[in-house]
Amino acid sequence: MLFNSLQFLIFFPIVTAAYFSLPHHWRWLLLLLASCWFYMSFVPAYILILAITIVVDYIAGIWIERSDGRRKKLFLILSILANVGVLATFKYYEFFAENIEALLAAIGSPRELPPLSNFYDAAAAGISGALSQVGIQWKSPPVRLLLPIGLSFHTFQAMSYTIEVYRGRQKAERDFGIFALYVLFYPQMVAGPIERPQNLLHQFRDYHAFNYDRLVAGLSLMTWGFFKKIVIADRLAQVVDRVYDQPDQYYGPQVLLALYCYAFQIYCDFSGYSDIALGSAKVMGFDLMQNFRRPYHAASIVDFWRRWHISLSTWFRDYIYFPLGGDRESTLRWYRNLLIVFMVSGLWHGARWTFVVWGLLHGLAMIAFLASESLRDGCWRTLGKALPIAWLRRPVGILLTFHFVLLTWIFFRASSLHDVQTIFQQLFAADGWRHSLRALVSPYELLVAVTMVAAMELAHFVEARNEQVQPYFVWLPRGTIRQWTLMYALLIAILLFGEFRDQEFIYFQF
Amino acid sequence: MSKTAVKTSRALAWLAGLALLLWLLGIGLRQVALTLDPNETKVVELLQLQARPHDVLYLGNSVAFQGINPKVIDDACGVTSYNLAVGGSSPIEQDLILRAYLRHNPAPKLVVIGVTPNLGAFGDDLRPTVYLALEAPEKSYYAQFLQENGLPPLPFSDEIAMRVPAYRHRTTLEPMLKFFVRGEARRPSFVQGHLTYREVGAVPARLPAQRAGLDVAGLRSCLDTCQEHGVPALIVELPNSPSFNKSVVERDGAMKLLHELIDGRQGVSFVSFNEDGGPEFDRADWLGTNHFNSRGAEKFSALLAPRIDSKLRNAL
Repeated sequence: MLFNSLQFLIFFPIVTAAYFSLPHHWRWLLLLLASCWFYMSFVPAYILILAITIVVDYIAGIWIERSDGRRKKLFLILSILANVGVLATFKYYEFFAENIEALLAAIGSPRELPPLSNFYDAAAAGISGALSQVGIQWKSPPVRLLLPIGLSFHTFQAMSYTIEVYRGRQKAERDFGIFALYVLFYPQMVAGPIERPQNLLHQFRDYHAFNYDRLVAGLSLMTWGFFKKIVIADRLAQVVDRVYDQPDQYYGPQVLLALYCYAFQIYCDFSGYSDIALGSAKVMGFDLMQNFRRPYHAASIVDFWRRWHISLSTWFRDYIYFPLGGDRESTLRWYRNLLIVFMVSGLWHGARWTFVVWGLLHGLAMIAFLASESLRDGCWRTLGKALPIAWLRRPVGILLTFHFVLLTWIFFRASSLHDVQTIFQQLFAADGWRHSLRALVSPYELLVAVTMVAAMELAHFVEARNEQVQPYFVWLPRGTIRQWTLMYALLIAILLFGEFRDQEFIYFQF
Repeated sequence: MSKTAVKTSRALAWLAGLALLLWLLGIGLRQVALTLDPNETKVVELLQLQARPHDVLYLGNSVAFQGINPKVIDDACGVTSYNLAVGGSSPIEQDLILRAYLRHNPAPKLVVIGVTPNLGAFGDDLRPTVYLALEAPEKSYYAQFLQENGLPPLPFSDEIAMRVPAYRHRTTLEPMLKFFVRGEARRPSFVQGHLTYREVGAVPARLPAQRAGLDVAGLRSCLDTCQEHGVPALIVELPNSPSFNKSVVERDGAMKLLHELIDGRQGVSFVSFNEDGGPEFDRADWLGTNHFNSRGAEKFSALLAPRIDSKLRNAL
């Protein structure tokens, strides 16, 4: 079920009320059953895939802890292979098969690789055959092999567990139920944040008494998340989808508007989800990690990646970048490590070349930024001696970073590299700037969207001025007229301006 | 008072304040809707029609709502007619409006169904005010229609949300804003259900591609209703502006569906005012890309009148 659905609005209070009503030693079971129910509301059968990886990682964690030397490493590798194998099968098989076929065709040896469904059919036939040997007739149900929802997230979360056990920074979880809950915890299992076992596992054992202030903070955070998702993201999606579905039909200012809309759509969609996840966990007493920190206020690409999808970027940093050597290697190897991390990050987002190029661009930008540090410092120092413009450095950095990220989002959103090309062509078409925005969006819709984004940015500005990491609505002093007024305004804005068409969250597809 | 009691009473006060605010907002928006949103006012008016005999009824969306002037046709054909069209309505919504009308009013001699295939398919949603005003048989019919056509049923969340006035009338905000920006000049008026605007609107020379489509199931439902009540139907394709027509793709497919739907149906005929070589309209006749202003509606209705007259005579 989606967070922005009636089912969740019924599910959440029931689960929360039951959670606080139950004795502490039964709460984990309630959460586990609720999380299973939550996950199975998408495609029930895929819980079996999750179950297999949970069993593998649970056993691997215990064996890794008990072993040493080569055996320890072997169990880690097996666990990682199991997780990556599931991910590769469901997410990347078709992509790699298509590219291998294209390569074979290019070298004059055309060959068609079997589709993924063939493997399912073969496995199902094998099981059916084995069962018939013992007198059980079973016919495999027809299944359309879709990407299990949240696969990339919970496999990464599971892998962080086995890696931390291997590194000796986390004790292996002996309680299967608690471990299963660590992987399946419903607020964050589908689209993060990707948690670390040191932060989350112990919380399932801690006693969480009902706390009114936490309840209000959690609900405030959820409301803020719903506002970003339902009012801003889903509204902007209508403009974005029109342009990206038919990029050759839109020009100049229309394309430019869609680019800006997508930048805020993806931020509000994903951070909105994270806020709802964090808020719903907070209500029950759980603290999940912050996943966004005003990323469009970043003054550099390095700063951007400290603020955007923090749980993923730190995952890549700790489990790929540092093991490769990080910045402790020679300069060339350091840059190579950065490129590898960003390209893998791109591929993590989806099995398409556009994502790989997106990752590559960010990697190159990172390298360019780091390589030019002394040059930039020198330029600003020199200019600063002639003119009082030192204060401009940060705003210029913010503008440049935002627009770089905005342009790379084209690769992220477009369906193919051909569409990316079309969008750039349409954006810079000679006569394109004669086209009116009215053909794309009504003035009213544009006004609502701009007003809501401006309201959100105002809240961000207040957070930054107060040097707050948490969203404004969480630390707003409670019981004040200001708090009541702003919360009422938020809820009314959701009611009046929200798009309630059960739009999925963008990051569900990853 | 204990801390728990203080917090509980504060929470209850907050919730009560929210409920009061939503209630007041609902009342306010409803009043604004009835004043400024022509579609809302129209729906309320037509659902209140009782025992009002009309010879001819017009169904359709906003193009028909603004494009067909019943008075012009009445004067030309010597009949009494009423424009039942509602802006943004889908064919199934038009059918349900017709059914609701026929429950309380005598059947007409002719139903004119305005279609706009160049605008694409509208879907099968209903305006909340229409849905809530429907009686049980119409609601059941709608549920059955969705099921028979493989469409998802109306979500329960929608049924609940529609009953909140602030949510139901939230589409009023746009006409309210337009009213404040443009002032009195844009306020609509009704005559026999026909919505008139005197302004001349801009029609862009170039528009992005628009895919033509047809809500076959909804239109079929309309024709079935006419057949059940023994009323002949005249399907009329209303004109769109030339620049809009140039931007339309896949029109042939939509027209093929339309002809397949009406071929062989007794009492149903079709006329298009939107084909190449059809009547031409001046720039001064348009309010926007696809909607006539009062001048354009008069002109078009005068062209439509002989077709209606002929159809009525054939029916006799």
